[in-house]
Amino acid sequence: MPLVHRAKSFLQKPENVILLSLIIILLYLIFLPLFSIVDDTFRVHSSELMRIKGSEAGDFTSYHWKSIFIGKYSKNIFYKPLINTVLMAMVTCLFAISLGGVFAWLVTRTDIRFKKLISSLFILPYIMPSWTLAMAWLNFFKNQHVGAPGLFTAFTGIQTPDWFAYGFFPITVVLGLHYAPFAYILIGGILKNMDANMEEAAQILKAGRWRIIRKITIPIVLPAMLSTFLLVFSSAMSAFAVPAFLGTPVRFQVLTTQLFRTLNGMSPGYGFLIALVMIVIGAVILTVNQMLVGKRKSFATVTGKSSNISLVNLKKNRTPLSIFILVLLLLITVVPLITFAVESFMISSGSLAIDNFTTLFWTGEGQPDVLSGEPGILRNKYIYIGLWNSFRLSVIVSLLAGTVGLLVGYAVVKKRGTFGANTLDRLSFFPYLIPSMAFGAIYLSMFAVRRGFIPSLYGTFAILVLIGTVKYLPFASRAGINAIFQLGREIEEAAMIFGVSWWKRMVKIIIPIQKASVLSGFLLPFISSMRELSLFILLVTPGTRILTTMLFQYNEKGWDQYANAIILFIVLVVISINLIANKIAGASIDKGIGG
Amino acid sequence: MPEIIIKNATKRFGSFLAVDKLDITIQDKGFVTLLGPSGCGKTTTLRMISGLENPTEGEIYIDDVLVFSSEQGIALSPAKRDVGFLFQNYALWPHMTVSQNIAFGLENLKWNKADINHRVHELTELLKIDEFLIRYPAELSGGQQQRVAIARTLAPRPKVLFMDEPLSNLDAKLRIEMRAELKRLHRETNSTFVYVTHDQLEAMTLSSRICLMKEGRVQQYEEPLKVYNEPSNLFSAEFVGNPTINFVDVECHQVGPENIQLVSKDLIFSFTPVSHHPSLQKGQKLILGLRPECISLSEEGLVRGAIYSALPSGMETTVILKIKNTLLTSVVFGSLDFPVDTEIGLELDHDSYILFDKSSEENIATGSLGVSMRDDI
Repeated sequence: MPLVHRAKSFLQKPENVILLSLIIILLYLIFLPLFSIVDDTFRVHSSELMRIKGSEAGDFTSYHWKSIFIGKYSKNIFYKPLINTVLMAMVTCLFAISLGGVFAWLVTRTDIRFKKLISSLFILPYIMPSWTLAMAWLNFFKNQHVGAPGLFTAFTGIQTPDWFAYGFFPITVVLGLHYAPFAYILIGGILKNMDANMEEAAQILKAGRWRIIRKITIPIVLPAMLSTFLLVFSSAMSAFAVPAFLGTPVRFQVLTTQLFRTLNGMSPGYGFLIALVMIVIGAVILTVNQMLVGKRKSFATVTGKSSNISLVNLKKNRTPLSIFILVLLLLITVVPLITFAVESFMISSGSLAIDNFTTLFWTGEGQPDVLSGEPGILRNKYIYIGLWNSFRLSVIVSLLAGTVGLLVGYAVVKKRGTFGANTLDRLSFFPYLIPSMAFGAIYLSMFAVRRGFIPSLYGTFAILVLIGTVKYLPFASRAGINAIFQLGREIEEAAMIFGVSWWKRMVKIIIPIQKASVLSGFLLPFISSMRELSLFILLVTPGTRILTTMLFQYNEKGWDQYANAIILFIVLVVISINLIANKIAGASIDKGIGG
Repeated sequence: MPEIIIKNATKRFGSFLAVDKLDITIQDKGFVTLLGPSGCGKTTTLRMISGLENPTEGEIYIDDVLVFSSEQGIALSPAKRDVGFLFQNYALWPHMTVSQNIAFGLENLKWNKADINHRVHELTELLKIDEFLIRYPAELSGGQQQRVAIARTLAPRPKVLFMDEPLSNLDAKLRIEMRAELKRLHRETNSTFVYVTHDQLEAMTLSSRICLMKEGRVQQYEEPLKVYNEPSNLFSAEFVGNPTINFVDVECHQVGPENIQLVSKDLIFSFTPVSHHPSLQKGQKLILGLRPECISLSEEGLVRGAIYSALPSGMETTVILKIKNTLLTSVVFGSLDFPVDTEIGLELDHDSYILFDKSSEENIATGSLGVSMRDDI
């Protein structure tokens, strides 16, 4: 039977087996949940029985759709947060791209000093949890609205106005700073690889510096900038922790905070519907991005030597500008960390008196009159459990996502151009577009009950591992595709001729050669899950608590000293892992733009 | 008169010396080629003259204007040097159409619309790309992109045109075609061309003068045929010419009033200088250079060898001849083939054999040769 033979020879190639099994698994883990969430928006949930009169849990209902889109309260529940979200994401994008773009230009195209240092410092806000800066902002600028005033008021005696301390303004500043490194990496990569001859050609033809930037440099990096815009937009839109910390005191609501409130509260149906709206926006963004990338003015040019980049001479501005930038960067990276350290020793923030300092929060045994008798951080077994859980979760997620990402890369590159490869490529990128919290909502809806051979996973550690792996697969699969693509097929084919087995080819040839790219496929999922809050917050139960969710709870309770200490822990772990990866294999997030 | 004078130009990249004390003058309306192997400093030299790179030390004049001086702290930007530059990878702007690419330089000069339009059409007709005006570079073939780049460079009528290996990304056939066009363009535009290449044939066929460089230093700066016939040293002799010149290690055996007797491991030569009589010591180590076309094959030749390999191309045949342990390359014109291992005679009937000193590698003398087998002394 020829069909059997064909199937047999098809399955003899490892890339086909990988392709087929990954497509099936990802369809199950990404697409099936989408149907489940749509279904959930039409169902009556048990906590909603009071409001949907005369219904049973599980009944079909259009109640959620009606009240979200055309109901009496839809303005407050949905439309206002939606507008806030869009505005917040827009302004964040503009800020992040201008800042990241200017830094990328300075580092790749001018003779500014301390390039390496600037590059590594600038990346820090992206490595740190996004709300690190939000907490630093609160540490500095909070006013009497939430109890003790911040350091700024302590030092200067000036009360910060509400608009400055909370809500839209600080949210966009903090998110903008958080995503600026992302723009920096993307735009900097383009600028670094862009053929400097293009700018030199314009220079010889007597174009002035501004005209060159306006007419040559910007148009050439524009597609990358648009792409960055869309990616940052979708990330900013799904940000939860920053608007939660900075927006709550002034009741500034966005879609994610609404999602959290409704899903954790009495109306999960609303929550699932808001999640669905966010997923749709994300999908639209991906489509627009895809359309922008494949255009007529292809930027593929004959590759020549572009080593001779002549840098713009900043002349007398060189040293002052370099110092200014360095100070600015220290202000947004190192200074916040110092305030966390300082605040964790202070009984009440806002007073710099000596007797206000204590080691109670670190080593104390817990006094009933201070913070409900919670023992100090170094004696607190819950903090150790959280640290261990976070670390364990990140390591497992990174190993799983990194390995699957590498397999995706292998299968996609080997089967380049086929329908299967394109499907897997898109499928593995799709989780990027699902806002973290919406993704959490999906898994909550999907795995709260037994599904096929998978038992109910709610409350288990496994569900955290599963969602982390799927959510960060896009990073890992991009890295995997890059690694395999750059290698070219001949290197592997040379080993195939000698009859080296697939396993050996991977372990002895492909991975060692591309270790930097491969490792960065493991590194990003690790860092991301270490600092992630919104993805896990709906799925974590007291038994599976992790550092970030504990942090969130301490913050809600106003136990700032513990929150500050935990942030320090997270930043410390993330930065040391990043350094180790950098030392071992030269893997780094900024890939040496400042190099 | 745009004469270019480079005085004592040195360029260091960190500790790497890219160009070492370069001193050349490029005459007005010349077509000068900077020739040399990769890493010899030729591209750096071109970038220094055009202003894309500043020398570490030295002075550069273009058209009697001091455009760079390390001592006086003068460094005119490329825009102020009135030059054109053709890049190896063309550096066309991918987001502009062909006509926008060509017009860009003219817009910078504030030409009016009608003049720009006129000039763009003039150039696209000259370079036969007028049908592609509204296309983007990515939609053109390599050869067409090349022509657009040339049109863009020529548009503002630069007095001096710099070209950095402009033909190296083209296929062999197109390269020969473009070579002819460049030479014609040089005549028609009436400007000075400075051309970087590592292809000795390109340098030979195009230029009015070749500046041969090695490791940042000028080896020889003369007309192409002079470089070919009177190479200043072993490097010049070996770099220029295809097939490569034959080198035979010899020792000076006897210095007579008329001729000099030279002995190699297999042969004895009698060298009669036609230039001047060099002063040589007995026992001095020398190298004899014989161009392949100056070695003739004949049935009667007294020195006998065997055909080691024959490569007929139709127009000529390159023959490698083995005489005992010496291999010599010869070029025979005409459609001929030689069966391998057949015995054949050799004659040296030219007067352009070159003698080099082995230790200094310098050219000592040119002359005619008599040859015989060594075992018949």
